[in-house]
Amino acid sequence: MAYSDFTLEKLKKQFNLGHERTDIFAKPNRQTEPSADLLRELAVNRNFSTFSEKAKSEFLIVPILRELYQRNKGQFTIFSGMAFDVTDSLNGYCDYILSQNNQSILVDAPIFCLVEAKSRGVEEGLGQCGAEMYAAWLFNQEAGKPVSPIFGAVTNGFDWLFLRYEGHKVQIDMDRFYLGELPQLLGALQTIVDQYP
Amino acid sequence: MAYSDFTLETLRRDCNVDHERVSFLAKPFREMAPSVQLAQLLTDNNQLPLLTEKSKSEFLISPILNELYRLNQPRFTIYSGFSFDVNSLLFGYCDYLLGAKPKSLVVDAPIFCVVEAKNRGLEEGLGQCGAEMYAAWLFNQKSEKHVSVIFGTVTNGYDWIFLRYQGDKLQIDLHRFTLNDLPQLLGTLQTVVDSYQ
Repeated sequence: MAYSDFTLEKLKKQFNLGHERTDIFAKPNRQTEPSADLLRELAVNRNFSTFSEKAKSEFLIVPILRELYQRNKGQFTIFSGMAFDVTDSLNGYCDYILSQNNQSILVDAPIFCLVEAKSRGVEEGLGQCGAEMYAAWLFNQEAGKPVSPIFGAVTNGFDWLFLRYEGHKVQIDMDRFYLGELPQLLGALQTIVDQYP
Repeated sequence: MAYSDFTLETLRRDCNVDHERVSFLAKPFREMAPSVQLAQLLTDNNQLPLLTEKSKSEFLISPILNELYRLNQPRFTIYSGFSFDVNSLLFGYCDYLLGAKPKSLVVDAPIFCVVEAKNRGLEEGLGQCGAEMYAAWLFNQKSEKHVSVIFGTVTNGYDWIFLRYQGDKLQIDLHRFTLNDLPQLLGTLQTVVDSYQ
């Protein structure tokens, strides 16, 4: 089954993979200040119409991921739009796969975070992101580079909802993060990167 | 027929749009120096594994179009990944449409340039780009915002070929720019923007 066909119900039914809502990040939320370049870029990009998933990805999501990439140079890499076929029942394309940087041009273990872009509500992407995270967990295991937990995020560019896979359970964060609250959003993403030094 | 199904042959057969290879870009090519930020961004982004059309669009093509936008703000806008259904023969999604109406949310006339991203060879995108340019011309006509010259470009992020639709004919420029000729590439894109006043 393609990742995009997964719902939280199907994850439960097919892999007995349950989910729960919980606080994923320690409170108070960590704050990471955005760079001047990021602020400038977002100020320009807000002029564009973001009615498509492609536009949201290019104008709102990629600038955030790139900021994270530039803050942590050499630590991780970003695979965008790659096919990620792990088993017969877990396959398809992933919007963004974050994995430890080893100069590979093919998706390589260990993967520690999946980001799924949605044009509308982030709820639509929860099952899909959960399936991708579970697939990444299996993929890492098989490569002999187990990672736990594995993080995920579903975003429509404006809202970000984080997930965590650990102990055969998908956790969905209680809170949402927002593009309009950049320090907290970047802080959450930096926390994820810091888990994998 | 969706734009992506068009070849130069079907464009001639079904839309009566013939093509010719010709040097329509004036020589010497106009040059425009990239900003420090763009040069740095492209250098950094080139470190990422760019194996998909999505990643090439996000990390190589979008930054260049954004620079063009920023330099001309607010003369035009960029529609990324919008559906553009003009008639029963010409429909589908366009990677990038450049329109002269800033800040509109939906695709609005006049459209003066079409950018088609391809993952591999540019030749694959010539028919598709030509069909989108012809559709843009019809769309402008219908909206009574007549534009006599519509430009187009097909790129895989590294190579860029320019096209021009004018008087029922599609012209394909003989020159191929590369990312290493960034000043010439930006200069040519600026010429395209300047063509529409």
